[in-house]
Amino acid sequence: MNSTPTPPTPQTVTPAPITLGDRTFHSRLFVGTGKYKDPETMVAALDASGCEVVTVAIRRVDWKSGHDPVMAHLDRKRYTILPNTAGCFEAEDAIRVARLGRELGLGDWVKLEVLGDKKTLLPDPVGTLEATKTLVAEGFTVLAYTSDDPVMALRLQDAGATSVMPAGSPIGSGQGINNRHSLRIILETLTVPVIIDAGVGTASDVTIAMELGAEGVLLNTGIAGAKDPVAMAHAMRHALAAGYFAHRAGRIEKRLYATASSPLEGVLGE
Amino acid sequence: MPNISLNGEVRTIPANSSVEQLVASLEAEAKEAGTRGLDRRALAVEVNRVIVPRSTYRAHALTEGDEIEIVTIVGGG
Repeated sequence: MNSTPTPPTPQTVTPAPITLGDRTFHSRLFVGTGKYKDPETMVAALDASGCEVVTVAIRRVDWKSGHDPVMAHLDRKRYTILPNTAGCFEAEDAIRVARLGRELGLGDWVKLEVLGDKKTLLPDPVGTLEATKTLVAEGFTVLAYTSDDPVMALRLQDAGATSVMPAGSPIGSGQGINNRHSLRIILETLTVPVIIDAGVGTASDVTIAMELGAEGVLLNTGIAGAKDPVAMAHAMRHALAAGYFAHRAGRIEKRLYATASSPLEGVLGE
Repeated sequence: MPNISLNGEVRTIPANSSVEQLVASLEAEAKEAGTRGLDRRALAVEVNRVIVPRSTYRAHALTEGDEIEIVTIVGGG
């Protein structure tokens, strides 16, 4: 996970591609399709974000009032569709949703969420681990949403998760990155790509995640809920690049006291 | 006539109905409701927690007490 920092060359304007399982993506930003005020805003925001992977949810069909057919707005040639198991509180339900996603033609990829609590939407570690094992055995590529617990992250990697996705803070909370220390330990320990998922409130949160060494960031509400989602998507894209390059540039150590930037010798009046 | 559970709600269906007939009746109800309609290509069906592939809708008969889930793709994060 810890690559030797190499400064970006002036020619380098976009982060290197990211490989997950057998797929390589040019964008490290993964964006959800929920909560946009209309499909046009969603399409424009996804475009501005530069993302290549978008998440969707699977829900009981409402045949009487109908659904906005999100898939009708998504260019399948441009975007890889990643179904999530959001809202599942049991491993078994999450496994069923993953299988239904495959039946819906979305392939073998799943963003696995097994939640443990309705108020915080924090993941249930036991259920998440159980579902990961089952789905990996069934041939799924599992991107596992988890808390910022380093031991749990390791367990999910050992269970065969293609990516481990610790939350920066609770889903949709906009609190940003709450525990940099735990995330740093996860990033130092794991060998699979770590994508920070959830809690992003604004662009600087994405930069912090990438500065810590995350391979990517997944978010939804931070863009969809912004006053101007398209402008925020644009900001998120550049924030990700900033953090990506800063991580590789190698930051200075923090010090308690000042260190002058200009020579201390030869000052007038000495 | 058998009672089944469809997406968590009890529903009475004609005897000897298949999954195909259930989906067709939902299509008819959607049309009647005058909304966006129901795109069966965007559906997946589960009976008693086992997926029923599209190719077996006709062959799969529904019986009393069956628990059916019919799902689709929506926006999400």
